[in-house]
Amino acid sequence: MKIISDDFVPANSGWGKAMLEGQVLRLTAKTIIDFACINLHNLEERFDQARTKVYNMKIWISTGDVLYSKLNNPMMTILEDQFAGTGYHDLQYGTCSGVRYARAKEEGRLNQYHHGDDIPIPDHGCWENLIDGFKEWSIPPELIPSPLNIFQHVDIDTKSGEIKHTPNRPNDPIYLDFRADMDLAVAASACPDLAAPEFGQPIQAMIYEP
Amino acid sequence: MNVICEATIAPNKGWIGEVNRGQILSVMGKSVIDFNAFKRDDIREYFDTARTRIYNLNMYPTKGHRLFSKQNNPMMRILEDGFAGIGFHDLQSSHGCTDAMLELLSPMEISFADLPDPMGLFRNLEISAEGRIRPFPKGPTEPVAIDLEAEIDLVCGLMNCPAAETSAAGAEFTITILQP
Repeated sequence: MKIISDDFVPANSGWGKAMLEGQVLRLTAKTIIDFACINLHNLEERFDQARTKVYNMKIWISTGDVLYSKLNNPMMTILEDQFAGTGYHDLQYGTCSGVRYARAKEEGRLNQYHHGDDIPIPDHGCWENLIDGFKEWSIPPELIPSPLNIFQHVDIDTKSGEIKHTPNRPNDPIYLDFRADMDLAVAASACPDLAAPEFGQPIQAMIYEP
Repeated sequence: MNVICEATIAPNKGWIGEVNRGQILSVMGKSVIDFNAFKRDDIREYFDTARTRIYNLNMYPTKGHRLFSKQNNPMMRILEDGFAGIGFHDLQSSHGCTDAMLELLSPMEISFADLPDPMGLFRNLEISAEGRIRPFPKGPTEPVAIDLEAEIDLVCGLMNCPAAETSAAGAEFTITILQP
């Protein structure tokens, strides 16, 4: 493999890069990574949770599954998923953010999302980090796609629809490899992940040619 | 309660209009209805399926749940859900009638790319324990109503989706806006 770039991304910060069709993105972490991608040549074409779920006909995606855009085109294909068998990546959550933490605290609901109601809350989260990751392309906040939430294992009762936050994360850093099926702007957030045993951790973002 | 507005919407037709804070939008039907809501005073703030799921910590919106915007503000509250016990409204899918919804929302100048995902009223998407989305949803056999209270001034768009896979494709639906 030929490494194009390999970046350390500190906890609760954002990362973004351009990558070309055929290149592979390897995201490595032991806590949640929020991820989104945009067509490099048409910033109107963005990753879409709903299309991705409907095209794959499932709410959890893994190796072999495809990330789709709102405009119905394949954007990326998952090549290797080291989380498989341990947990699922999430396609239900939007992004955490300063405002969402503040609202959860105000409503006394932090414990529903995290471990305790007295936990210190960060002033920013994945929404702000993804805005920062895409800053080269100036994507307005309201157009940041709801992401693929990597390593965010959520318990979902598909009968009642109930969604439960869990602290289930990889024990050690593992990776997800996915190939660009078009030229892309990609962004990732090292989530503050207040539900993880040791909170959000740094991530590693590598782009390589296979 | 005063009735502010009443309308009957034929298959493959839509309705767009204002629903002010405190008013109740009652939607009665048995076909799939794609629903979008925008903040009246800033249409860049609109209903968001992901924020809504996570605020309610539930995939299936029903009585007592709130509809949230991408900017994390409450937009509507579900007061009654006549579909409860029959099926679930859908917060997983894209529009089943994108072109028609875009035409309906043309006053808002929303592009295809920016069209927010809808709430699919009465779509009843079935999801297995393994996360498989089942391709044969069933709608209600008789018209049922969902009542939504506006928490801010809104513009709402509803499209009577022709979605051929539902048992009730081709039925009309009604909306009523009530002022308590």
